[in-house]
Amino acid sequence: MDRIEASAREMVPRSSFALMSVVGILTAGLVAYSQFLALYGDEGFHLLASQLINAGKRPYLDFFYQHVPLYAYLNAGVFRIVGNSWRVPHAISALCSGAAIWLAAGFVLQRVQDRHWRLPVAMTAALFIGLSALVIPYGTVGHPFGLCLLLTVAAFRMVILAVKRNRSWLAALAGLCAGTAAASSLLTAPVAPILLFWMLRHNPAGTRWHKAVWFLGGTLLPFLPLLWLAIQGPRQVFFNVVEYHLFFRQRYQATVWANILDDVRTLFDLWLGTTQGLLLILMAALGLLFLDERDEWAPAERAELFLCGWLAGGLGVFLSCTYPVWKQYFILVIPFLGILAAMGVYGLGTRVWVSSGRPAWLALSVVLLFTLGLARPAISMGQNLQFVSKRWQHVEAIARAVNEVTPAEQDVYCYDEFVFFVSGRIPPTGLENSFSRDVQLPLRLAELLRVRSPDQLDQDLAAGRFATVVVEYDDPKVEAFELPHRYAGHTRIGTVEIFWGRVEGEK
Amino acid sequence: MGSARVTLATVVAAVTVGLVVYSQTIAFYGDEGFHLLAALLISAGKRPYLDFFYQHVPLYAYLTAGWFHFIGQGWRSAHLLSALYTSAAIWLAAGLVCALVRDPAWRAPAAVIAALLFGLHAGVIQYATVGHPYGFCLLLMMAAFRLTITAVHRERPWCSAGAGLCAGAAAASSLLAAPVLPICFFWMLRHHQVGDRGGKAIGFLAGAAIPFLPLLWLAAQGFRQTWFNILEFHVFHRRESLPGTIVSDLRMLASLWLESPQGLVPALLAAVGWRFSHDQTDWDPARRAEVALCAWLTLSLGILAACALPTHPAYFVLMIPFLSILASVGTYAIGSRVSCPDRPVWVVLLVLGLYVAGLAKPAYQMGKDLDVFMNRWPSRVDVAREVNRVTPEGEEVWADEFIYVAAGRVPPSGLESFYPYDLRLLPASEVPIKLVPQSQLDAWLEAGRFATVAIEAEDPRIGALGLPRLYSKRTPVHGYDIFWERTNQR
Repeated sequence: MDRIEASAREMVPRSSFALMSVVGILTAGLVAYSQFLALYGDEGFHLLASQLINAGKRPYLDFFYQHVPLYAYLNAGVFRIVGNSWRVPHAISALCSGAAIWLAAGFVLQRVQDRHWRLPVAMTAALFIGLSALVIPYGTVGHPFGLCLLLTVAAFRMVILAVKRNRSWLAALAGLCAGTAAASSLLTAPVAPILLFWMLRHNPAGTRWHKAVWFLGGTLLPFLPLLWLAIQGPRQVFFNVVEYHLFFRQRYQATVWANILDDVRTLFDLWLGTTQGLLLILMAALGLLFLDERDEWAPAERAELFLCGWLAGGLGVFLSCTYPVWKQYFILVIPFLGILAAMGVYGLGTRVWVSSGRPAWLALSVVLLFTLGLARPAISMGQNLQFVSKRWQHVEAIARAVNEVTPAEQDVYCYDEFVFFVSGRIPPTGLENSFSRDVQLPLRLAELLRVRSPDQLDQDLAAGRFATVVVEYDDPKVEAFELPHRYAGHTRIGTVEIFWGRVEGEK
Repeated sequence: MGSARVTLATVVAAVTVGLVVYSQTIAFYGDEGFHLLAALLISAGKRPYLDFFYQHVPLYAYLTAGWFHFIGQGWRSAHLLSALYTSAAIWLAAGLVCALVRDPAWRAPAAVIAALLFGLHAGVIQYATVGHPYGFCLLLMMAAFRLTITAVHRERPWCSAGAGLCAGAAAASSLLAAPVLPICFFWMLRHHQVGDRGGKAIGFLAGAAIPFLPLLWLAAQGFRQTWFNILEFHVFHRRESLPGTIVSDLRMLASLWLESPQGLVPALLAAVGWRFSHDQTDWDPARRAEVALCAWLTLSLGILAACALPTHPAYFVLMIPFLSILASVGTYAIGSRVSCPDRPVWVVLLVLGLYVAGLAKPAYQMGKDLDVFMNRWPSRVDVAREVNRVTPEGEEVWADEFIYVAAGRVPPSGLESFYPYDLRLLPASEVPIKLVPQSQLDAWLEAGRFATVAIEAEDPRIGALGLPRLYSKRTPVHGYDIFWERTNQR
């Protein structure tokens, strides 16, 4: 502990400034990306959930929402202050990701003993995280990933402080961060127990259980909104938060084995089929091997870095078992893997690259190689740049057209949550979340959960319940329900057809 | 050292068994047909370039013809020979690592890593076990490398002559191995220690010239044809004959070297190994120079393969032995310096685990259609058997290279290679080779020149040229349609 603190004290302010500059540039890049290119299909229902909360609705009880609710409530609070806009949650996510990068790189800066290597290794950690092909597209959207990155890294650093210092509130704060992450996305659930057990194991005897209680208290606090909702509708909350994920998540293959094979393929492509994945795995493994070198590290330092390994491993295993697995989930592993990988570069540099005396060259080579891993996604994005950069404009144009032709209180039929969010409209029951349509439930339970099947929605469409209908131009419903005959108004924006003005007698 | 050798011998033996089994069951490569057919044609008294189109240096075809003469002609014997060549190269590479790494705890693990990085490489398994010069070149290059590093310590020039002979034979079998020749030569001169430098240089060059004698003999008989096949075709016509652009080449290079554990892992370890040896002041200069030679060979073979527009994953097989040696030194560096030096097991497991995982995807793809993969040569043998059954001796057959090889039949002049499609579109006067234009081939088919036609069932020429009308008998065999017994409706 003394060595670490001494190292922190002697840390040259110039290193911190240089690191801050790199993190600042990365954050600026992430914010720019979030405002011009970022859009993720699944963020629509999160943003819409916040809008519905502001309209007085409750997740689970009034609409289907298959996630823990904290992120939606926090976003709703932000929308109340600054107004409904996708730009704000995007910017907040990017800033949270930037802060997570700063916390992770700052940790590395404090742990590296060799003053020649301190800054290059910390910068490497920052760039491993900030240039990750997972962090850029998924840590900059209206989805809990960005917030969870910040909270998990903050919890990690708090726990380390809590063990060193005899202050229980630090443990409570660590628990609060870990709990808030878990209450924002269940994908971060392993963080809290891993941190708790690590704290129990490494805290000096005496205050151990005291701190554990504070940690648990802090962890539980962010779950109060969930508890409040569970009291009002335990069945709905249990279904949305647990049952849906265990039994109703959409799988794309016919058999269990085929689905598992799909997941294995996803994992393989992510970690072994990309430059970034391979490099992170290799360097992180090297970092762990380097930690095995007992002369280099004090026991406390080793334990902290091994905690990184536990978090990366624990999250990695948990995320691999989500069935189906999506590559974006693994964004949550990146900060911890990035720290370990940077330590791998440090080990390589100080033990193998001994004579060069220029740590920056090794760090730069590895980071350049890592950055090459962005080439393929960048090329495919470049090919569709026109389309990618105009996606939000497209949604905004549709929302504007819908608002122009639809009176405020009238219902709109649209399968795209983005359109409801941008137009500021409350969707009819069953259209709040596109995932609800894949859930097959008995009628009474479906009514309780506010889930409407595609057949029921089609009946509503046939009955002319909607003042305006927004569908893709090639949607068979256009012909099946004779929309051009049943609605007087019609326009097309991009690939989307908008019908409005119900023809009387055609209902 | 003894126990390390036993461990290594066991591992290499296991890899050899695997390669031989693979070579006899699954191994098949689209380009091996014309190499084997060239050997068959040479056995029948024909000369490459002069009597048939063959866009490669001729040594491998001549040696395979000799092998066929003694053992009997067939794809199995050619595959077996390639697998054994490759295994011998693995043994030489791993043996060298045994000598390079002198740390007793690491000697066997480092050598085993070299053997497995080499022997379990997807490209080596796929391309160095078929009737193609890769296996042969791997052995010759490794032999040249080892003889070169021995030659600098020997007074007499025999080793340098041997090194030159091996390097020359590799280059005379495949031009992709050409960089070995100048690099080994200059390295030997630069690091020469005892004896007569000039004598060794002459010995090396004399040895290197011997394998090119068949080429010189052919060039003396038909310089223009030899020049066209060996050089002009590759410089001016290759790009037209093969699909692909520079962008697709770059994409292939990225997926081969940056997005595969079998590319990135050994490449990074090799970089570490090279740097480590460079910094090792306690290593004697000779050892460090040997690692540097390895790095030069890896780099030059890689650059040549990447510049062969369009490039192909198979071309990079030739750099794998040297890359594996460097990567094993890199593994040793990490294991002994970054991690606990007396416990190599974790580092070895990590490297091999990641590397072998790179085989999972091709193995899975293969496993899904194992029957198809295992039947690629046997099915052609069945087609050839049927062709031989229905075709009288001496009559002409239309078929692809594989069927000719399996049937043991010499194709009519102009049909020896189906490969250079675009050359067939050029006027005959522009192509100084025995290559019949496409229109002429179609005219022959339409005129019913061939007693038997074995053609892929999906080939549009079946309908376009009216083959069912031209022949009274037709039978489908493994995706081929065989037509025989000509009618009078021509």
